Amino acid sequence: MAALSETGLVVIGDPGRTAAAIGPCAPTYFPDSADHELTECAVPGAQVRAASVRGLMHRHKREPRQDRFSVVYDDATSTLVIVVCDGVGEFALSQEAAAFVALDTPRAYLMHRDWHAAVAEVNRRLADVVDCAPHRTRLLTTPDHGMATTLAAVAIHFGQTERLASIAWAGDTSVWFLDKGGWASLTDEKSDGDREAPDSGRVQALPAVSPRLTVAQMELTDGALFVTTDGIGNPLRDAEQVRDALAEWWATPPDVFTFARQVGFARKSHLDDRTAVGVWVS
Amino acid sequence: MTEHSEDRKPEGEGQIIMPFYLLCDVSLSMTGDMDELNKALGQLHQQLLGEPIINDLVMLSVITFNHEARTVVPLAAPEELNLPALSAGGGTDFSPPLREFHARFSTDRDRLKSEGKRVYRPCIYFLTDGEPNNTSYQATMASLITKEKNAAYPYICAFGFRDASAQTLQTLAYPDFGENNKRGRYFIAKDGASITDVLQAMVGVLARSILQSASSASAGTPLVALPEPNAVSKMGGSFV
Repeated sequence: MAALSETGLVVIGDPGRTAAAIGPCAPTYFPDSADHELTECAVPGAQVRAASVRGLMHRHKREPRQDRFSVVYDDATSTLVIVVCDGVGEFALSQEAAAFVALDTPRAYLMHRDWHAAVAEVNRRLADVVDCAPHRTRLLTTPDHGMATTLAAVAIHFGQTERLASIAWAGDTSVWFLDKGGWASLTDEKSDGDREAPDSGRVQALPAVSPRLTVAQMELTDGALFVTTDGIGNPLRDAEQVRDALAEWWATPPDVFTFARQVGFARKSHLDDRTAVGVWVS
Repeated sequence: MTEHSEDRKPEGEGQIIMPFYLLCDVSLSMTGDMDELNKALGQLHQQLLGEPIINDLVMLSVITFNHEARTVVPLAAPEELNLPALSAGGGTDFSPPLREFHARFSTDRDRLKSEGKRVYRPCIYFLTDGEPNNTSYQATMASLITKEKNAAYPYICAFGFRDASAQTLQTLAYPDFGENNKRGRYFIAKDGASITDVLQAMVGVLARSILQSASSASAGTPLVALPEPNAVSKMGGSFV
């Protein structure tokens, strides 16, 4: 069940208590990190909507949104590049890693035209960013300068007769395909964990000595692709209510403000940052 | 308002659950402390109710024990808990509560997972005022609780006062995986601390520990945040 609550929250199922209890909180100590970030654009052959929403737990703890995204279109090659990064929350400055990787990866991809080469270069440059982190000035001095980020990226080449999507990911940031048949994850990997062990959120992240990157390709004929952080990806994977609600809302591209409110839907225990970039091909 | 017609789908699918089990000694030697213990549990409940984040992420169960054990509060969110008035009697054996925890968590976990929920590693707060009448609990720890025999092993934080000894509490604290955030710990009342003082201090630190554990969910890896060894006034703490 999905609904607008009396408080104006977009709700899917049981909203829990936190979403209604946590209103605007004190601002973060990292003023480069807006609570929410939106983008909408149209390119030949596709509509794009992007929204990143600061999670309820980060608001409660006065921590910044650690998700980042970028959307770039290369006119010369008719290539749309989308990058979504999820800063690893156990490190205090992961929003800086996520911001750097979201910023630098489109450039690297358009130069190399190969995800492995692009991510390897960005990973090396991110290691330099990490090394310099203790020396950068910030409003808040932090004793912990650690940072890391996951990555999912899509490059869609809009050719004369076909639209080919090249997908790359490291960690639990995910890519989904939506059409009339419903949702399909394009980044599912078989779990090698112990079935009896309690659930764990441990992820592969950058920087890494040897980045573990997976790459896939698919031809797009219709439908929509969504690049999401786990704040969206986890409930989308785990809950039929969420799959149904988002499939209905995102069958066609909504206006960007509606899209952002939907990305920030309230659902009990889902308190993480949320980012989704949707590409509707036409 | 937007409504979907199919509203019979499971409400809690994908919900994160952080389970906490409070194992309370209610043996005969606790008789004079039951009013204070009941009051402390009520205060803990109120503190948990006051934090929306805890209500969205945490479930709590209470198991009492003497020479046997029973679940007096089944695992549930704080807003769904009903605390009964506890009474004391009987001997002291640590094995029954550990067995009861193991059986109940297995059942709770199966039930929650069948509802599509994501269940994270459990945490036990173990409270006792004395020494067990036997050492059979050590075999129970080895066969049911520790990682070697139980992939869903719990974190255990032990609290003792009056006749409880550090030597015994140390054998309950679990695990010992090196890093401080992966080490059980135990606390023992300082000389001269009243039971009231100890229980009051425990309530505050348990509520903070549970809130910090719930807050770690924003890191993507919810972790049990046990109290620091110096965090409980009137009690001395040590890593296992």
